[in-house]
Amino acid sequence: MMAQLPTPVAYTIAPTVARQAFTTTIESSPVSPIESTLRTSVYAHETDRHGTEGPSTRVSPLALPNEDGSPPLSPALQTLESFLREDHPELETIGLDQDLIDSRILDSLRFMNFIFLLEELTGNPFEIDRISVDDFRTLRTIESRFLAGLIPGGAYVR
Amino acid sequence: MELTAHSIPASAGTASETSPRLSSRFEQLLSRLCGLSVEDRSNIYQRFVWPDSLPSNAYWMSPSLTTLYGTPAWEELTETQRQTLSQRESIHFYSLNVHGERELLTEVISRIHTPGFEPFSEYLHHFVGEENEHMWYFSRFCQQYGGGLYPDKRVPVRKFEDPLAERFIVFARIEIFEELVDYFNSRMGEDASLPPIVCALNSAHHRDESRHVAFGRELVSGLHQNLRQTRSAELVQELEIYLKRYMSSILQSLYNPAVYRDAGLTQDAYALRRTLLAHPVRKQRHQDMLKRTLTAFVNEGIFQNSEVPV
Repeated sequence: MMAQLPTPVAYTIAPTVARQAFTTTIESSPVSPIESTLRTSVYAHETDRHGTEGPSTRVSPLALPNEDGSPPLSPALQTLESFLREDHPELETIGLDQDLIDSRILDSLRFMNFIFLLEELTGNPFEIDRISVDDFRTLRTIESRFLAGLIPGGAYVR
Repeated sequence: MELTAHSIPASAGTASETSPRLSSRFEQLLSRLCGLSVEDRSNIYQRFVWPDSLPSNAYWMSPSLTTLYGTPAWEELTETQRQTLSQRESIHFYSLNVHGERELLTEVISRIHTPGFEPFSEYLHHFVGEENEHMWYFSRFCQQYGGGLYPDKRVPVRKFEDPLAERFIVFARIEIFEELVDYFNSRMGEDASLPPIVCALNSAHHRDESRHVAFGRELVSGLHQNLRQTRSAELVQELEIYLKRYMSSILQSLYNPAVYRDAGLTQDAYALRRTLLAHPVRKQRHQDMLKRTLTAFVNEGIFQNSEVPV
């Protein structure tokens, strides 16, 4: 298998490494020279489009403490919630128990990007055949199914 | 797993309502395509010369078709890195072909010789046979030279309750997929710098797909005419938006984090994918890839404009 190629980088990241990575931000993570070059190029373009501020970023309301003082959603879930709202600007927030499938907030055409983001957050790739649509029914089931065990208070930022 | 979404409420259509009219032009096209398929037949399982291995110090995909091409990052890669990237990208591209053709075959098989498809079933037999052969040789390439296929990250797409809308969307998706794939096949089939087996497979695929595209365009155009005449403007517009999102989705599927890791480019393959997808050079390349399909869809009145968020 792949005898002619260099040894591939391991696909699966050990859970402990993944959890450690989860507590860092992408912006502060060491980046490869390739990635660094690309970011500079893309940012220059985005600055042209958006002015000196570059592309805008939105903070999920779910990042704020709840009215009853309970802690906000985990950073990973906030990231996923913000991703889902990108195509639904009419939504100020997505409830923990809102049905993402029936409401078409998460549909088949967005699913691949959602899976890649979830893989990035957890450090583990998913095999589509081994997961069920019900695993993605609500933010609460996603957290329970995929995010449980990640370090609370992680500072992951997209 | 399947993501089911809200369907569009509509009255069920009869077979005649949900099928394109068989114009004399379409009838002649079907006859010609059937004849060409018969003439072009040979035993695909014996047609190609498969070397035991492919050189590791060579491109397996035309450099200009790789997902880093045109960006500053491409300029920083060594020749060896570029070649390795092209090898992994080629395996990923053929994997996408196999997954896409499996979905396509499933849809066509479920409709052949059903009411409304009688006039097309003769040609669909050729279509199914040829797509089956494509799956065979692309999967063999991945297994023999790439260590296997990259897994499919997509889920089954949305079903529309309106039978005409569903039929139109199925064949429009097939058309979009085949035309995008042909962008690669037509170029690699003529790229003499690639290994002979790569040229041969892409050239063979391009020949077959030329017929499939001709059939698909006529069918999709006819189905859309029925839609415009019998369905609401809101539904027609919703279908256009959906298909444009589908176009974006298949373009994005070309960018696979596993490929970047396997090529040894970066540990942070997801970030690389995101950055590439946002890069203006890549966005322009996406427009080039879709140009032929968008032009045809606009000319046929399927799309109101050629603006796609890529």
